[in-house]
Amino acid sequence: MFSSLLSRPKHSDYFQPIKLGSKKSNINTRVLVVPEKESQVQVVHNDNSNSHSTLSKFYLNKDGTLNYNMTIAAQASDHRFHSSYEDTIPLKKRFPNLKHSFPKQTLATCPDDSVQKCVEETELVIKQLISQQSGEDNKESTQYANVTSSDVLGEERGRERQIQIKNYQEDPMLPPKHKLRKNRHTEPSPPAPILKNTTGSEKLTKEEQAKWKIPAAVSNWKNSQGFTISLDKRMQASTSNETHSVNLSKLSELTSALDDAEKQAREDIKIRNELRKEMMAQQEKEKELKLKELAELTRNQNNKRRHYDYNDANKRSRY
Amino acid sequence: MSIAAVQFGKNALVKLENSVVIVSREQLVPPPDTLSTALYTNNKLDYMLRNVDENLPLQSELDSSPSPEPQSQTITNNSHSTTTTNWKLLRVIAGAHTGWVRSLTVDPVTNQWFVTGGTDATIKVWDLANSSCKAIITGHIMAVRALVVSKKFPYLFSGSEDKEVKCFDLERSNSVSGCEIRNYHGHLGGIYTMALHPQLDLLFTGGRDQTVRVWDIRSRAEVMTLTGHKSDISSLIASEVDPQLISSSMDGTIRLWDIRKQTTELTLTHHSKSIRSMVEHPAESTFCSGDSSGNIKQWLFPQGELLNEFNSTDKNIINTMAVNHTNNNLFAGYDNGQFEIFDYVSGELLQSSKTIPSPGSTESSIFCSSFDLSGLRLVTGESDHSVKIWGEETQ
Repeated sequence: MFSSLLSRPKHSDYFQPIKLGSKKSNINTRVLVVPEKESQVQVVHNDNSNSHSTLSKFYLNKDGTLNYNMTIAAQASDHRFHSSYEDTIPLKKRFPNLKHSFPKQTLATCPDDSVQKCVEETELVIKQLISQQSGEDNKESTQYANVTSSDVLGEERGRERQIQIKNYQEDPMLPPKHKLRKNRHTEPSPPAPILKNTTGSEKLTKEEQAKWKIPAAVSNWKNSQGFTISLDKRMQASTSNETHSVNLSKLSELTSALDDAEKQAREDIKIRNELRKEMMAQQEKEKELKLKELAELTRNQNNKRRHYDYNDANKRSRY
Repeated sequence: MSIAAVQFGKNALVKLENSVVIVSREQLVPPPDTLSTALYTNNKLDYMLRNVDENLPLQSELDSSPSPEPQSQTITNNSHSTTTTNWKLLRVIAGAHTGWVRSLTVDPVTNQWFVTGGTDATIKVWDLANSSCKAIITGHIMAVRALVVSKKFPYLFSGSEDKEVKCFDLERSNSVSGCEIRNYHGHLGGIYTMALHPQLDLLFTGGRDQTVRVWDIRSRAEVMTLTGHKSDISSLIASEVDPQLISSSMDGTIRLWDIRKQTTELTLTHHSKSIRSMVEHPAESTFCSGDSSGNIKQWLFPQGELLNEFNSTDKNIINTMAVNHTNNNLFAGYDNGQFEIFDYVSGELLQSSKTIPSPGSTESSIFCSSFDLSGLRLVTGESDHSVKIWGEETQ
């Protein structure tokens, strides 16, 4: 997100350091030599100064060091520069009675036409630059070529034509042609060679397929879901890398036998449980019957007694 | 109302010889309407009237009298009288962006809205009065670091860390197809700052690739590339008088450019640390630059003389500065959330306080700031994802 954290653009060399030309070493030695004559400042001409960025003259002090002020002054004939100690002291300190009144000059407020002139000049420069860029003023580059026609197009031979060749002006309002793409670096080295036959793919045999079969990953330590894992799977997992020392087919037989035994046992238990349930139900029925009999017996005895009591009472009431 | 005030002020400042400003009183009296009454009730009026000589006769009297020569060319000393200011936090737009608020500009024409750009790659337009979000402009894919609103066109220019400069048509900000109308392609690094030429249709952009690029707004052509800085360009000032372009850089230099020759006119190397912010006074031909060791220097152009050095109390990184032209205050916002207000003329420290980070963040650095046109409100964008609006408390 922060471009400030990115590295600088790799191939952008904006800073053009001041170069002293090809005879740099020569000049350096001359700089080091203390001038014999007792002149205040010595001038050394840089013969190789051709571009704007090279210095044309060097001013040396009496002791052979570079006199910065004079060198820069000679170079900076077209622009101003600050080089003295005075320039580092604020104007308000140098002139304590300075009144702070520096109104801005704009087109509306400027009394003379200096601002107008400046704006117009700039506009002209900009226009020129734009027209240069868009190829507007390339009228001189128009070329004319004489072409003699041949038989190829079915025309008569030797017919002369004049062709005008010129650059068409580019429409500045067209949408941009470039496309923003990222990572447009090509592979720096040639691609690595492919060391296998990619022409025909032969059919795999069953053994090869079996070789490619990857057994299920079974852990002897982790089984969070709690699945029952057959012994052969466990064996396979634990000895996947080594050769199988245990006969896997026998192991699978054993596991199947164990499975069968377990099934048998479960069935037996089931049957036993059912039998037990039936027995319990029978016992309960018997118990109930016994209770019923007992209840009837007692009821009958009670009835008899009541009847006797009743007769007794009747007898007593007569008296 | 406020743009009227600015133009009004411009008309009021007429330069005569020896740089003395003398304005007749009648020139300052606007035609009677609601705007003028609003201006008269505004307490900032005394600023505009500060250079008026009370002894001067009115224009009608001048016309009748045969001698138009003013008798006395004395200026009343207009230095700021108050010794302290008391700017207080009025409103917080918490969570204005989902990232840092990195750029901010107040509408230079109507003073009714301001625009903020954040690291969430969006630009938001806010109402200055009720701080409601008016529009969300998308289109960038990285942090929006620079915003400029044109005075001539309804255009908003934005520069981003994704190396793109885009031009948005604000009249279509709510359209379905988006309001992006142009983009200016060519920068090799993120764009940190932008400026518009006041007269010509030129856009200046500068940023991480150490160059200032000049664009023709309409045809999107890169007119020129100004090279010379040895580090990222942090801020730009464009004006119609020479130097038409001033750029400050992280290499600690300020360059004044002659864009007709495409060369540096003057390089100011007074700063010892990288300059992160440079601000121009809207009414004066002065500008201020603040470096990352807390030094603020005031400069005078066109000659580029060092005018003043401001004495700030602590040596913190200055992220942003703003000038209040109505009462000549300079706001400096620091990276540790501190801010200081100086008197622009004398360089005295008027106020030093700290922002209150919104809940959820321990410290908040001030990234961008701007006074509105009336000078009554200060808007700051901070790293706690909030936009804060400040106002001066009057005793």
